[in-house]
Amino acid sequence: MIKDKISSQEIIDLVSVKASVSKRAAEEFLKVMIATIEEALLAGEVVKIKNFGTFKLQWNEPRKSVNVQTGEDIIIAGYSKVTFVPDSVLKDTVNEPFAHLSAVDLEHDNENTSQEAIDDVVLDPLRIFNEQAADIKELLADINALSISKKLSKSVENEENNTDNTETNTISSSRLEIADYDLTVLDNEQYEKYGPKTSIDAVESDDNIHTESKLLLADKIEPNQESENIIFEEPSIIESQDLIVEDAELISDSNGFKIKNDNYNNSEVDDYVPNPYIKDLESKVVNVKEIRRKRLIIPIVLLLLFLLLFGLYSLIPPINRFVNNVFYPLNTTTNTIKQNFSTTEMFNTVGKWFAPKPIPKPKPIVVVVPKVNKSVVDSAKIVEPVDSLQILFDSPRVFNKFIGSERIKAGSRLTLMSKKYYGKTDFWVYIYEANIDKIPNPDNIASGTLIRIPKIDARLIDKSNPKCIQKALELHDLYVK
Amino acid sequence: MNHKELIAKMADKMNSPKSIVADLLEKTIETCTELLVDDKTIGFQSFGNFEVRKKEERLSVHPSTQVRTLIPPKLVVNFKQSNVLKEKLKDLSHHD
Repeated sequence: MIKDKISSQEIIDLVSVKASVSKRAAEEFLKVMIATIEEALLAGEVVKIKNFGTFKLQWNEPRKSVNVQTGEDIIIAGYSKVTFVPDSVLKDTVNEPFAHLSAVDLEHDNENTSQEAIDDVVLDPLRIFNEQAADIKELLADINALSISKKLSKSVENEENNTDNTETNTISSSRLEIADYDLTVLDNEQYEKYGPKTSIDAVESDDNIHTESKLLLADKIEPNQESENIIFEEPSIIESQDLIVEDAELISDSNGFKIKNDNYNNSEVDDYVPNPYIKDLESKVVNVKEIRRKRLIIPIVLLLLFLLLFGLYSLIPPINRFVNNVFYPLNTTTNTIKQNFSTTEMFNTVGKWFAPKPIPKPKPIVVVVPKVNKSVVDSAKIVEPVDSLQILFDSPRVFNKFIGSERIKAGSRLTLMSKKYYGKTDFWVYIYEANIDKIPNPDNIASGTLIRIPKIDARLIDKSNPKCIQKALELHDLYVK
Repeated sequence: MNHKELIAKMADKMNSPKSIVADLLEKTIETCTELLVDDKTIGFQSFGNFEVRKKEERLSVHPSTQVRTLIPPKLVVNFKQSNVLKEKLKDLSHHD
């Protein structure tokens, strides 16, 4: 490292100019300064200079080393060394060019965990979706086997091979958006036009493709069927009339779907058999879209209502009781509706936003309020005794009653007295406190000192209570230091 | 020995008032600090050298929490005692 080295002489010059004193005076000053520092250091003292730093002697222990050339062990004698620790002022001034830099935490781990958390959230609805999809596939396979003749299914499936390609993509990514349904509708319309030719061509397609397309078909109808499934369950649980009406529509729709299929098999001659099937699908898709929109509005309205209620509830205390009595049961019912609702909701939201949206959120808010109150009450009950003990700990101890006295002999210990009178050595600190005027150092008490053993509140020296021992140990640390 | 004691002792040796000594010491320290900031090495004859060294940036890992932290580079003042002082210290009674 090549640096300009400033000698003592230059320092003398600079100081003499700065302090406007003669060079001789500056030189003398510097010599005296160094001599004084050296002297103090040799006397084993620490020299501290304000705004500059501290000089200290450091003793380096003798240590073993190896002579690199001969391989022999050698002992490096111990030696003293002058160390200099710069003052914070000097440190800061010198480090100014880098002062703006600060230590940076490299929190890669945190990012990973958060990503995992997101993955979990995304996977959960996906899992539900997949489970439901599997159920629906089975159901559809049964339906196909029963209601649709072999020919019909063949033609339908072959026609749909193309759409299914696009649809499987969407399904595999599990993004079931309404836009996709529009696509399917459009596709279906195309099939109505182009379907005939392809079906004729494709009737002789392989069995493999046949089965595959069956699956694909299942995938396609999946969303509709799923909503049907859920709806079949819903009426039994939900008391909301609107929903029932909607469900009923869908049920009739789904029933009609089967019936229509059968009808079309028999009656519709001029049209291709798959077409009614697809038409039906179309109408169903439209229905589902409408219902979905309705469903989206309902929770939003409910959410707003909840927020409003909650705001009122928290803002106006006198209304609280009234609300508690009247609205609380109401809220719970709406909540149950919401719960049942949430399965369909889940599906919708998976399709829409790919993550479960917090529509059931108002539920925890409403339910939590009384719980919180309860827990507050409980904790208050528990906290109370602890507090009284804490107050006892914190209040200054007054020793005016004594249960005995001991004279310090060789081998006497405050801890032994504590053991004798209080049953535990840790409480010696209280004896020390009571005799603090006679004991300058608790580790070394002059023999002949008369120690009085104070009477102490039994709660303070409860040896079964870990808090008391903790407190005594704290005091021990305080006094022994 | 703190700052005041040092000044008192020096004033005693130089037979000059403390205020002058304090002023001189302050000026000396200021000069030294300025020189160090200018990245110069200061050598006091028979005492030692003061110089500024750059500590490179480094990665530190907290031993218990395993949090990795990037410590930025910094400039520190380093003091190296002269050989004269070292010899003087050798005569010092051994540490116990």
